[in-house]
Amino acid sequence: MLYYIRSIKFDMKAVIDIPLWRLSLCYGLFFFVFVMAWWKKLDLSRDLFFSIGRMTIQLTLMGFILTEIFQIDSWWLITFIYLAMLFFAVQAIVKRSGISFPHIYRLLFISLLGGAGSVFVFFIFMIINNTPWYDPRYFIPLGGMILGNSMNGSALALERFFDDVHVRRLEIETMISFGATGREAAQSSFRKAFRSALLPMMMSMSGMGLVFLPGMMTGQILGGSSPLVAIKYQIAIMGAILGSLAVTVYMILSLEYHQFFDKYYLIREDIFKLENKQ
Amino acid sequence: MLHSFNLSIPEKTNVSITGPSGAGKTTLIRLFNRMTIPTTGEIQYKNHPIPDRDLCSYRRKIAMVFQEPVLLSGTVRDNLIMPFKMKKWQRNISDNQLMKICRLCELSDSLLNQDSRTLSGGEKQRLAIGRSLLINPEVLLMDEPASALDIDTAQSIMKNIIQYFPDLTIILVSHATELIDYCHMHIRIKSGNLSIINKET
Repeated sequence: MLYYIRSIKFDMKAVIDIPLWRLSLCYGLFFFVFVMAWWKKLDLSRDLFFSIGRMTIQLTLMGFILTEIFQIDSWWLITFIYLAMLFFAVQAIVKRSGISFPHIYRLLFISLLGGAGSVFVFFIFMIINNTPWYDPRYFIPLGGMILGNSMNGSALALERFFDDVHVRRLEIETMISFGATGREAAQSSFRKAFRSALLPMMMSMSGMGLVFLPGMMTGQILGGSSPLVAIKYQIAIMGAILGSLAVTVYMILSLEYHQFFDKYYLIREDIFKLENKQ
Repeated sequence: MLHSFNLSIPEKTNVSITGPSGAGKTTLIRLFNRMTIPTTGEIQYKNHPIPDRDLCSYRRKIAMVFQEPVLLSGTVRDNLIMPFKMKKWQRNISDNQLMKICRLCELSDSLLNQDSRTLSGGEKQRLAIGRSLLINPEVLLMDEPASALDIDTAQSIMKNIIQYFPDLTIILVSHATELIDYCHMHIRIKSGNLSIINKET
């Protein structure tokens, strides 16, 4: 017998490419929003025009760039691209949190590398276990997702901790005058910031599947994967995101704390731009 | 700003600090528990420089009542036992001790379970004094303790402190002559210069 085939199933469907002329219909939808904004005097026309334009240009460029990147067969180049993404994440966090103090860039870079980076290494080698490990089709999008999702929480934690220590500085000072260490005195701010970083991700996890289908899962299903494979990826990536978020935020807060207090456990007034007390 | 000065305070000597506002009274009193670090010079406590390494243990011996009492959210009891929540100083405080401190500070012990935000300014100040005494300090620093108290109450609290804590050294920023009368040494600050008067001499 040359072949013996028994109840196999093959239902992988090729993705339907959207022809350009159909895609242009989509711009009809954008135009519709544009007209509505003008009609209702939302004062958004200019911003809308730029955001649609930016999205178009950025995504087009990304399409070409990713096509190129996916051809790369060199582990160091892929790692370098990942580090560049990490650097952009640092910048985005600083911009979003709207605060600044000495060494903030170094602090965030170390935290993201230690948090998002190390969790990603674990994810790539232990969970995905692809060969080669640097296969850009997995490495770049998954790395980007973990980084991107750690960004929001990091910015939030960074900002909350700063603001809360600032607001509670007299309380903190009182505790320190009673012999508390800086870490003890700032503990409740630390907790508040940590919680605020984790909560949104937890909310979105509990809504997942019921309220919405995550983008990656939708994409995989559209791409022809079985939903059962897609949910495995989704669960795995959620674990990676939450783990990365927790480690990154912990590192950010611990390092940030060292910037806030001097060796006498006194709040550094230059960082919070406080006026000297009499 | 304070100009260069020398000052030595013997044990169990109560000190008053006076001077116009903005003269540096708070700065001076904060130097004692190292909540302000001097630009130059050295402060010795019991013939040893204040150690930077174990600053927490030093601060624990020097209690400070700030000018504006800072209370944490929670009840009066929560605030009184706050200094015993720290890992290094963890200890249970009995209700008996709390009540004794309340009485000493002329604070009704029925307030113990009340939310600290509902207290009046004077009650807050007395609570802050009580909290400082509860850690059984060697030195008590008080920055304008009578600012929210009527003078009779302030006086009787002062009397109680001296009676129940005979080994305590009190350093006090105040303009109330009734409190200054309990001090043995007087520091007057004027445009950054200290003048020291000993009552005994």
